[in-house]
Amino acid sequence: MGVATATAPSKPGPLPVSTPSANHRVSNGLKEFLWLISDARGGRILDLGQVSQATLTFFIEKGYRISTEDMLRSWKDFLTTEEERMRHAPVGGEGERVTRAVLAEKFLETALQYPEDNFNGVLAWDLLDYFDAEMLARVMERLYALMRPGGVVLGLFHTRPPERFHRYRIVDVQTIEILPAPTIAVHSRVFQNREILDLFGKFRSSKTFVGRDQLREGLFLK
Amino acid sequence: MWRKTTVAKLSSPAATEAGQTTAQRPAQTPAQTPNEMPEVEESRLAAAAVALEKQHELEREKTVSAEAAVEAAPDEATRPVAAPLTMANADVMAATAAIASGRLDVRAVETSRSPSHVSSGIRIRGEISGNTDLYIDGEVQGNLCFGQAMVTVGPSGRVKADIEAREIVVLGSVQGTLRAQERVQLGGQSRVRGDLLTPRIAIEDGAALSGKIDMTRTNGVRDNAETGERAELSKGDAMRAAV
Repeated sequence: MGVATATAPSKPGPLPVSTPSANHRVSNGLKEFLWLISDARGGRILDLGQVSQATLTFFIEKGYRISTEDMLRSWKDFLTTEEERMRHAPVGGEGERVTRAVLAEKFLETALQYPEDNFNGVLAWDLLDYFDAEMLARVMERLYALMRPGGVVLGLFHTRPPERFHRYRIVDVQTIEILPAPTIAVHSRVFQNREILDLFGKFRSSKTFVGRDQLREGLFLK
Repeated sequence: MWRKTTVAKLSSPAATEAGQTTAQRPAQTPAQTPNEMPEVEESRLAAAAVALEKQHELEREKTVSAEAAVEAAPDEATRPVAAPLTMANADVMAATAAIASGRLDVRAVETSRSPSHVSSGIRIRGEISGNTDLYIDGEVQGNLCFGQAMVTVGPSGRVKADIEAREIVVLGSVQGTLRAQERVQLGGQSRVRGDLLTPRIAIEDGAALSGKIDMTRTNGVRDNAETGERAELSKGDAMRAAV
Protein backbone atom coordinates (compact mmCIF):
# COMPACT_ATOMS: atom_id res chain seq x y z
CA MET A 1 0.00 0.00 0.00
CA GLY A 2 1.24 3.47 -0.70
CA VAL A 3 0.14 7.02 -0.68
CA ALA A 4 0.14 9.10 -3.81
CA THR A 5 -0.11 12.81 -3.31
CA ALA A 6 -1.69 14.84 -6.07
CA THR A 7 -2.90 18.37 -6.32
CA ALA A 8 -5.27 17.86 -9.24
CA PRO A 9 -6.12 14.42 -10.59
CA SER A 10 -6.64 14.12 -14.30
CA LYS A 11 -9.51 11.68 -13.83
CA PRO A 12 -12.48 11.81 -13.49
CA GLY A 13 -13.15 14.63 -15.92
CA PRO A 14 -14.56 18.07 -15.28
CA LEU A 15 -17.98 18.20 -13.71
CA PRO A 16 -20.49 21.00 -13.22
CA VAL A 17 -19.91 22.86 -9.98
CA SER A 18 -21.99 25.25 -7.94
CA THR A 19 -21.30 28.93 -7.60
CA PRO A 20 -18.15 29.20 -5.50
CA SER A 21 -18.20 30.95 -2.17
CA ALA A 22 -15.68 31.56 0.59
CA ASN A 23 -16.69 28.36 2.38
CA HIS A 24 -16.78 26.18 -0.70
CA ARG A 25 -13.89 23.87 -1.39
CA VAL A 26 -13.37 22.01 -4.63
CA SER A 27 -12.84 18.47 -3.46
CA ASN A 28 -11.00 16.01 -5.65
CA GLY A 29 -11.39 13.49 -2.86
CA LEU A 30 -15.16 13.73 -3.00
CA LYS A 31 -15.15 13.46 -6.77
CA GLU A 32 -13.18 10.22 -6.66
CA PHE A 33 -15.15 8.94 -3.70
CA LEU A 34 -18.36 9.28 -5.72
CA TRP A 35 -16.73 7.62 -8.67
CA LEU A 36 -15.55 4.70 -6.59
CA ILE A 37 -18.98 4.05 -5.11
CA SER A 38 -20.84 4.65 -8.34
CA ASP A 39 -21.02 0.92 -9.13
CA ALA A 40 -22.88 0.35 -5.90
CA ARG A 41 -26.13 1.97 -6.94
CA GLY A 42 -28.52 1.57 -4.04
CA GLY A 43 -25.49 1.00 -1.83
CA ARG A 44 -25.11 2.20 1.72
CA ILE A 45 -23.29 5.28 2.90
CA LEU A 46 -22.33 6.09 6.47
CA ASP A 47 -21.90 9.75 7.37
CA LEU A 48 -19.95 10.18 10.60
CA GLY A 49 -20.21 13.96 10.74
CA GLN A 50 -22.92 16.30 11.85
CA VAL A 51 -26.12 15.56 10.00
CA SER A 52 -26.76 17.79 7.03
CA GLN A 53 -29.89 18.05 4.95
CA ALA A 54 -27.84 18.85 1.85
CA THR A 55 -25.64 15.79 2.20
CA LEU A 56 -28.57 13.48 2.89
CA THR A 57 -30.50 14.80 -0.07
CA PHE A 58 -27.44 14.53 -2.30
CA PHE A 59 -27.05 10.80 -1.68
CA ILE A 60 -30.72 9.92 -1.48
CA GLU A 61 -31.41 11.53 -4.82
CA LYS A 62 -28.64 9.41 -6.29
CA GLY A 63 -30.34 6.31 -4.96
CA TYR A 64 -28.09 5.50 -2.02
CA ARG A 65 -29.23 4.51 1.43
CA ILE A 66 -27.62 6.65 4.04
CA SER A 67 -27.02 6.22 7.73
CA THR A 68 -25.71 9.00 9.85
CA GLU A 69 -23.96 8.90 13.17
CA ASP A 70 -22.73 12.10 14.74
CA MET A 71 -19.72 10.45 16.33
CA LEU A 72 -18.08 13.43 17.96
CA ARG A 73 -21.29 14.65 19.55
CA SER A 74 -22.09 11.14 20.76
CA TRP A 75 -18.58 10.81 22.18
CA LYS A 76 -18.87 14.15 23.93
CA ASP A 77 -22.29 13.27 25.36
CA PHE A 78 -20.93 9.93 26.48
CA LEU A 79 -17.95 11.51 28.25
CA THR A 80 -20.22 14.04 29.96
CA THR A 81 -22.49 11.28 31.20
CA GLU A 82 -19.57 9.20 32.40
CA GLU A 83 -18.04 12.16 34.17
CA GLU A 84 -21.31 12.82 35.93
CA ARG A 85 -21.64 9.17 36.90
CA MET A 86 -18.10 9.01 38.24
CA ARG A 87 -18.57 12.19 40.21
CA HIS A 88 -21.30 10.46 42.16
CA ALA A 89 -19.49 7.15 42.41
CA PRO A 90 -18.20 6.15 45.87
CA VAL A 91 -14.54 6.94 46.54
CA GLY A 92 -12.29 3.93 45.90
CA GLY A 93 -14.88 2.33 43.70
CA GLU A 94 -15.03 1.75 39.98
CA GLY A 95 -14.36 5.38 39.14
CA GLU A 96 -10.66 5.22 39.95
CA ARG A 97 -10.02 2.37 37.53
CA VAL A 98 -11.51 4.06 34.49
CA THR A 99 -8.99 4.62 31.71
CA ARG A 100 -9.31 6.07 28.21
CA ALA A 101 -9.22 2.56 26.82
CA VAL A 102 -12.07 1.47 29.08
CA LEU A 103 -14.09 4.50 28.08
CA ALA A 104 -13.49 3.84 24.40
CA GLU A 105 -14.58 0.22 24.79
CA LYS A 106 -17.69 1.24 26.64
CA PHE A 107 -18.58 3.92 24.11
CA LEU A 108 -18.30 1.50 21.22
CA GLU A 109 -20.72 -0.84 22.92
CA THR A 110 -23.45 1.52 21.76
CA ALA A 111 -21.83 3.45 18.89
CA LEU A 112 -21.24 2.25 15.34
CA GLN A 113 -23.60 -0.63 15.81
CA TYR A 114 -24.18 -1.87 12.28
CA PRO A 115 -23.85 -5.24 10.57
CA GLU A 116 -20.43 -6.13 9.24
CA ASP A 117 -19.66 -5.65 5.52
CA ASN A 118 -22.51 -3.17 5.35
CA PHE A 119 -21.29 0.08 3.84
CA ASN A 120 -19.98 0.96 0.41
CA GLY A 121 -18.77 4.34 1.51
CA VAL A 122 -17.94 6.14 4.75
CA LEU A 123 -17.70 9.91 5.12
CA ALA A 124 -15.33 10.36 8.04
CA TRP A 125 -14.66 14.06 7.36
CA ASP A 126 -12.04 15.27 9.88
CA LEU A 127 -13.36 13.08 12.68
CA LEU A 128 -10.15 11.12 13.13
CA ASP A 129 -8.22 14.29 14.00
CA TYR A 130 -10.28 14.61 17.16
CA PHE A 131 -9.97 11.18 18.74
CA ASP A 132 -7.24 10.13 21.13
CA ALA A 133 -5.06 7.14 20.29
CA GLU A 134 -7.08 4.63 22.34
CA MET A 135 -10.33 5.63 20.71
CA LEU A 136 -8.82 5.94 17.26
CA ALA A 137 -7.52 2.38 17.12
CA ARG A 138 -10.88 0.97 18.14
CA VAL A 139 -12.86 3.16 15.75
CA MET A 140 -10.64 2.17 12.84
CA GLU A 141 -11.05 -1.49 13.71
CA ARG A 142 -14.81 -1.11 13.78
CA LEU A 143 -14.96 0.92 10.58
CA TYR A 144 -12.95 -1.67 8.71
CA ALA A 145 -15.35 -4.37 9.83
CA LEU A 146 -18.42 -2.38 8.80
CA MET A 147 -17.24 -1.78 5.26
CA ARG A 148 -17.80 -4.04 2.32
CA PRO A 149 -14.79 -5.20 0.33
CA GLY A 150 -14.20 -2.45 -2.21
CA GLY A 151 -15.78 0.10 0.10
CA VAL A 152 -14.09 3.45 0.46
CA VAL A 153 -13.51 5.94 3.27
CA LEU A 154 -13.24 9.66 2.63
CA GLY A 155 -11.27 11.37 5.39
CA LEU A 156 -9.97 14.88 5.91
CA PHE A 157 -6.81 15.62 7.86
CA HIS A 158 -5.64 19.03 8.97
CA THR A 159 -1.99 19.73 8.23
CA ARG A 160 -1.94 22.20 11.12
CA PRO A 161 -4.32 22.60 14.06
CA PRO A 162 -7.51 24.27 12.83
CA GLU A 163 -8.41 27.65 14.25
CA ARG A 164 -11.92 26.52 14.95
CA PHE A 165 -14.34 23.66 14.69
CA HIS A 166 -16.08 23.01 11.38
CA ARG A 167 -18.81 20.92 9.93
CA TYR A 168 -18.98 19.79 6.35
CA ARG A 169 -21.65 19.32 3.78
CA ILE A 170 -21.73 18.30 0.16
CA VAL A 171 -22.75 21.00 -2.27
CA ASP A 172 -22.31 19.11 -5.52
CA VAL A 173 -20.27 16.29 -7.01
CA GLN A 174 -16.96 18.02 -6.43
CA THR A 175 -17.64 20.75 -3.91
CA ILE A 176 -17.71 20.59 -0.12
CA GLU A 177 -18.92 23.43 2.01
CA ILE A 178 -16.92 24.00 5.18
CA LEU A 179 -18.97 25.78 7.80
CA PRO A 180 -17.84 27.13 11.17
CA ALA A 181 -19.67 25.36 13.98
CA PRO A 182 -19.80 25.45 17.78
CA THR A 183 -16.90 23.48 19.17
CA ILE A 184 -17.80 19.94 20.11
CA ALA A 185 -14.31 18.58 20.65
CA VAL A 186 -10.75 19.83 20.85
CA HIS A 187 -8.45 18.99 17.96
CA SER A 188 -6.30 16.10 19.14
CA ARG A 189 -3.43 15.72 16.71
CA VAL A 190 -1.98 16.49 13.29
CA PHE A 191 -1.25 13.31 11.35
CA GLN A 192 1.82 12.91 9.21
CA ASN A 193 1.62 10.89 6.00
CA ARG A 194 3.20 7.85 7.59
CA GLU A 195 0.78 7.96 10.50
CA ILE A 196 -2.15 8.06 8.13
CA LEU A 197 -0.80 5.02 6.34
CA ASP A 198 -0.45 3.19 9.63
CA LEU A 199 -3.95 4.18 10.63
CA PHE A 200 -5.40 2.62 7.49
CA GLY A 201 -2.90 -0.21 7.46
CA LYS A 202 -5.50 -2.90 6.86
CA PHE A 203 -6.95 -1.14 3.84
CA ARG A 204 -5.99 -2.20 0.34
CA SER A 205 -4.98 1.14 -1.10
CA SER A 206 -5.07 4.82 -0.38
CA LYS A 207 -4.69 8.15 -2.06
CA THR A 208 -4.43 11.66 -0.70
CA PHE A 209 -4.85 15.16 -2.06
CA VAL A 210 -3.34 18.18 -0.41
CA GLY A 211 -5.10 21.47 -0.81
CA ARG A 212 -3.86 24.98 -0.27
CA ASP A 213 -6.15 25.38 2.71
CA GLN A 214 -4.08 23.09 4.97
CA LEU A 215 -6.57 20.29 4.54
CA ARG A 216 -5.49 16.92 3.22
CA GLU A 217 -8.13 14.65 1.71
CA GLY A 218 -7.67 10.91 1.84
CA LEU A 219 -9.39 8.00 0.12
CA PHE A 220 -8.94 4.53 1.57
CA LEU A 221 -10.15 1.45 -0.23
CA LYS A 222 -10.91 -1.78 1.60
CA MET B 1 -87.03 38.65 8.37
CA TRP B 2 -83.32 38.79 7.25
CA ARG B 3 -82.27 36.58 10.09
CA LYS B 4 -84.50 33.78 8.92
CA THR B 5 -83.16 34.02 5.39
CA THR B 6 -79.53 33.94 6.51
CA VAL B 7 -80.04 30.89 8.69
CA ALA B 8 -81.68 29.08 5.81
CA LYS B 9 -78.68 29.82 3.62
CA LEU B 10 -76.27 28.34 6.10
CA SER B 11 -78.22 25.29 7.10
CA SER B 12 -79.57 24.20 3.75
CA PRO B 13 -77.85 24.07 0.41
CA ALA B 14 -81.25 24.06 -1.24
CA ALA B 15 -81.85 27.60 -0.19
CA THR B 16 -83.85 29.70 -2.54
CA GLU B 17 -82.06 31.78 -5.09
CA ALA B 18 -83.65 34.87 -3.67
CA GLY B 19 -81.99 34.39 -0.32
CA GLN B 20 -78.42 33.80 -1.54
CA THR B 21 -75.57 36.11 -2.24
CA THR B 22 -73.29 35.51 -5.22
CA ALA B 23 -70.54 34.15 -3.01
CA GLN B 24 -72.83 31.57 -1.45
CA ARG B 25 -74.74 30.45 -4.49
CA PRO B 26 -73.93 26.86 -5.41
CA ALA B 27 -72.66 26.24 -8.90
CA GLN B 28 -75.00 23.30 -9.45
CA THR B 29 -78.51 23.90 -10.72
CA PRO B 30 -81.13 22.89 -9.98
CA ALA B 31 -80.79 22.76 -6.20
CA GLN B 32 -79.50 19.47 -4.80
CA THR B 33 -80.69 17.49 -1.86
CA PRO B 34 -78.16 16.53 0.84
CA ASN B 35 -77.92 13.01 -0.57
CA GLU B 36 -76.82 14.41 -3.91
CA MET B 37 -74.01 16.51 -2.49
CA PRO B 38 -70.67 16.28 -4.28
CA GLU B 39 -68.14 13.97 -2.67
CA VAL B 40 -65.52 15.87 -0.72
CA GLU B 41 -62.42 14.64 1.10
CA GLU B 42 -62.89 14.26 4.83
CA SER B 43 -60.23 16.81 5.66
CA ARG B 44 -61.82 19.42 3.42
CA LEU B 45 -65.22 18.53 4.78
CA ALA B 46 -63.99 19.06 8.33
CA ALA B 47 -62.39 22.36 7.41
CA ALA B 48 -65.57 23.53 5.78
CA ALA B 49 -67.59 22.45 8.80
CA VAL B 50 -65.38 24.44 11.10
CA ALA B 51 -65.64 27.46 8.81
CA LEU B 52 -69.39 27.11 8.79
CA GLU B 53 -69.52 26.95 12.55
CA LYS B 54 -67.49 30.14 12.72
CA GLN B 55 -69.86 31.67 10.21
CA HIS B 56 -72.75 30.71 12.47
CA GLU B 57 -71.04 32.36 15.42
CA LEU B 58 -70.46 35.47 13.35
CA GLU B 59 -74.09 35.53 12.32
CA ARG B 60 -75.22 35.11 15.91
CA GLU B 61 -73.07 38.02 16.96
CA LYS B 62 -74.48 40.09 14.13
CA THR B 63 -77.98 39.11 15.12
CA VAL B 64 -77.43 40.45 18.60
CA SER B 65 -75.99 43.69 17.31
CA ALA B 66 -78.68 43.93 14.62
CA GLU B 67 -81.42 43.56 17.19
CA ALA B 68 -79.89 46.38 19.10
CA ALA B 69 -79.70 48.39 15.91
CA VAL B 70 -83.35 47.69 15.08
CA GLU B 71 -84.33 49.28 18.30
CA ALA B 72 -82.26 52.33 17.44
CA ALA B 73 -83.00 52.66 13.68
CA PRO B 74 -85.43 50.05 12.30
CA ASP B 75 -85.02 50.96 8.58
CA GLU B 76 -81.21 50.70 8.48
CA ALA B 77 -80.93 47.44 10.37
CA THR B 78 -83.30 45.36 8.24
CA ARG B 79 -80.86 45.12 5.29
CA PRO B 80 -79.56 41.51 4.94
CA VAL B 81 -75.88 41.15 5.74
CA ALA B 82 -73.83 38.06 4.93
CA ALA B 83 -70.13 37.58 5.40
CA PRO B 84 -68.66 35.93 2.26
CA LEU B 85 -67.51 32.34 2.62
CA THR B 86 -64.02 31.64 1.43
CA MET B 87 -64.39 27.88 1.16
CA ALA B 88 -65.19 26.18 -2.13
CA ASN B 89 -68.90 25.94 -2.70
CA ALA B 90 -68.80 22.16 -2.99
CA ASP B 91 -67.07 21.91 0.40
CA VAL B 92 -69.57 24.21 2.06
CA MET B 93 -72.50 22.36 0.61
CA ALA B 94 -71.12 18.98 1.56
CA ALA B 95 -70.33 20.13 5.09
CA THR B 96 -73.74 21.70 5.49
CA ALA B 97 -75.39 18.53 4.32
CA ALA B 98 -73.25 16.38 6.59
CA ILE B 99 -74.06 18.52 9.61
CA ALA B 100 -77.76 18.60 8.74
CA SER B 101 -77.92 14.85 8.39
CA GLY B 102 -76.00 14.30 11.60
CA ARG B 103 -73.04 12.64 9.89
CA LEU B 104 -70.63 15.31 11.08
CA ASP B 105 -70.37 16.83 14.52
CA VAL B 106 -68.64 20.15 14.12
CA ARG B 107 -67.69 20.28 17.80
CA ALA B 108 -65.93 16.94 17.46
CA VAL B 109 -64.09 18.24 14.42
CA GLU B 110 -62.93 21.32 16.26
CA THR B 111 -61.83 19.27 19.25
CA SER B 112 -59.88 16.87 17.06
CA ARG B 113 -57.85 19.75 15.63
CA SER B 114 -56.44 21.03 18.88
CA PRO B 115 -53.39 18.99 19.92
CA SER B 116 -53.26 17.05 23.15
CA HIS B 117 -50.43 18.05 25.45
CA VAL B 118 -48.04 16.10 27.59
CA SER B 119 -46.70 18.99 29.57
CA SER B 120 -43.27 19.42 31.05
CA GLY B 121 -42.94 17.49 34.30
CA ILE B 122 -45.28 14.70 33.25
CA ARG B 123 -43.90 11.18 32.77
CA ILE B 124 -45.78 8.53 30.85
CA ARG B 125 -44.87 4.90 30.33
CA GLY B 126 -46.73 2.67 27.95
CA GLU B 127 -48.45 2.85 24.61
CA ILE B 128 -50.23 6.01 23.53
CA SER B 129 -52.38 6.05 20.44
CA GLY B 130 -54.97 8.36 18.95
CA ASN B 131 -56.09 10.47 16.03
CA THR B 132 -55.51 13.92 17.43
CA ASP B 133 -52.27 15.81 17.19
CA LEU B 134 -49.98 15.36 20.17
CA TYR B 135 -47.48 17.77 21.67
CA ILE B 136 -44.97 16.31 24.13
CA ASP B 137 -42.94 18.48 26.42
CA GLY B 138 -42.65 15.87 29.15
CA GLU B 139 -41.13 12.39 29.24
CA VAL B 140 -42.62 9.45 27.42
CA GLN B 141 -41.43 5.85 27.28
CA GLY B 142 -43.11 3.18 25.24
CA ASN B 143 -44.80 3.49 21.87
CA LEU B 144 -46.64 6.34 20.19
CA CYS B 145 -49.07 5.44 17.44
CA PHE B 146 -50.81 8.41 15.82
CA GLY B 147 -51.31 7.23 12.25
CA GLN B 148 -53.21 10.22 10.86
CA ALA B 149 -52.04 12.93 13.22
CA MET B 150 -48.96 14.98 13.93
CA VAL B 151 -46.67 14.31 16.87
CA THR B 152 -44.45 17.12 18.10
CA VAL B 153 -41.70 16.59 20.65
CA GLY B 154 -41.15 20.00 22.20
CA PRO B 155 -37.81 21.46 23.30
CA SER B 156 -38.21 19.96 26.78
CA GLY B 157 -39.62 16.69 25.48
CA ARG B 158 -37.75 13.45 26.18
CA VAL B 159 -39.10 10.46 24.35
CA LYS B 160 -37.83 6.90 24.45
CA ALA B 161 -40.29 5.34 22.11
CA ASP B 162 -41.01 4.37 18.55
CA ILE B 163 -43.23 7.04 17.02
CA GLU B 164 -45.64 6.43 14.18
CA ALA B 165 -47.58 9.40 12.81
CA ARG B 166 -48.53 11.32 9.73
CA GLU B 167 -45.98 13.99 10.55
CA ILE B 168 -43.32 14.05 13.26
CA VAL B 169 -41.59 17.18 14.49
CA VAL B 170 -38.70 16.84 16.93
CA LEU B 171 -37.39 19.83 18.82
CA GLY B 172 -36.20 17.88 21.87
CA SER B 173 -34.79 14.41 22.33
CA VAL B 174 -35.99 11.12 20.91
CA GLN B 175 -34.60 7.63 21.17
CA GLY B 176 -36.50 5.29 18.93
CA THR B 177 -37.67 4.72 15.40
CA LEU B 178 -39.57 7.56 13.72
CA ARG B 179 -42.02 6.38 11.09
CA ALA B 180 -43.91 9.18 9.34
CA GLN B 181 -46.37 8.89 6.50
CA GLU B 182 -45.63 12.37 5.21
CA ARG B 183 -42.70 14.10 6.85
CA VAL B 184 -40.13 14.18 9.63
CA GLN B 185 -38.75 17.51 10.77
CA LEU B 186 -35.76 17.85 13.09
CA GLY B 187 -35.19 21.19 14.79
CA GLY B 188 -31.80 22.77 15.34
CA GLN B 189 -31.60 21.61 18.96
CA SER B 190 -33.06 18.16 18.43
CA ARG B 191 -31.29 14.94 19.40
CA VAL B 192 -32.47 11.80 17.69
CA ARG B 193 -31.06 8.32 18.10
CA GLY B 194 -32.95 5.89 15.94
CA ASP B 195 -33.98 5.14 12.40
CA LEU B 196 -36.10 7.45 10.28
CA LEU B 197 -38.62 6.05 7.83
CA THR B 198 -40.30 8.84 5.92
CA PRO B 199 -40.85 10.06 2.38
CA ARG B 200 -39.68 13.57 3.27
CA ILE B 201 -37.30 14.96 5.82
CA ALA B 202 -36.32 18.45 6.93
CA ILE B 203 -33.28 18.92 9.13
CA GLU B 204 -32.20 22.22 10.58
CA ASP B 205 -28.54 22.96 11.12
CA GLY B 206 -27.45 21.86 14.57
CA ALA B 207 -29.66 18.80 14.76
CA ALA B 208 -27.96 15.61 15.94
CA LEU B 209 -29.02 12.37 14.35
CA SER B 210 -27.67 8.88 14.72
CA GLY B 211 -29.52 6.33 12.70
CA LYS B 212 -30.51 4.98 9.36
CA ILE B 213 -32.60 7.09 7.02
CA ASP B 214 -34.97 5.21 4.77
CA MET B 215 -36.71 7.47 2.31
CA THR B 216 -38.81 6.99 -0.76
CA ARG B 217 -36.88 8.34 -3.70
CA THR B 218 -38.39 11.57 -4.84
CA ASN B 219 -36.06 12.16 -7.76
CA GLY B 220 -35.12 9.32 -9.98
CA VAL B 221 -33.09 11.47 -12.34
CA ARG B 222 -29.45 10.52 -12.42
CA ASP B 223 -26.69 13.02 -12.56
CA ASN B 224 -25.84 13.30 -16.27
CA ALA B 225 -22.29 14.38 -15.59
CA GLU B 226 -21.72 11.31 -13.47
CA THR B 227 -23.12 9.06 -16.18
CA GLY B 228 -20.78 10.65 -18.69
CA GLU B 229 -17.92 10.19 -16.29
CA ARG B 230 -18.55 6.49 -16.01
CA ALA B 231 -18.68 6.04 -19.74
CA GLU B 232 -15.41 7.86 -20.18
CA LEU B 233 -13.33 6.12 -17.55
CA SER B 234 -12.42 2.55 -16.90
CA LYS B 235 -13.19 1.58 -13.34
CA GLY B 236 -10.42 1.47 -10.80
CA ASP B 237 -7.71 3.23 -12.80
CA ALA B 238 -7.27 6.10 -10.42
CA MET B 239 -6.93 4.00 -7.31
CA ARG B 240 -4.70 1.41 -8.92
CA ALA B 241 -2.45 4.15 -10.21
CA ALA B 242 -2.09 5.40 -6.67
CA VAL B 243 -0.99 2.10 -5.20
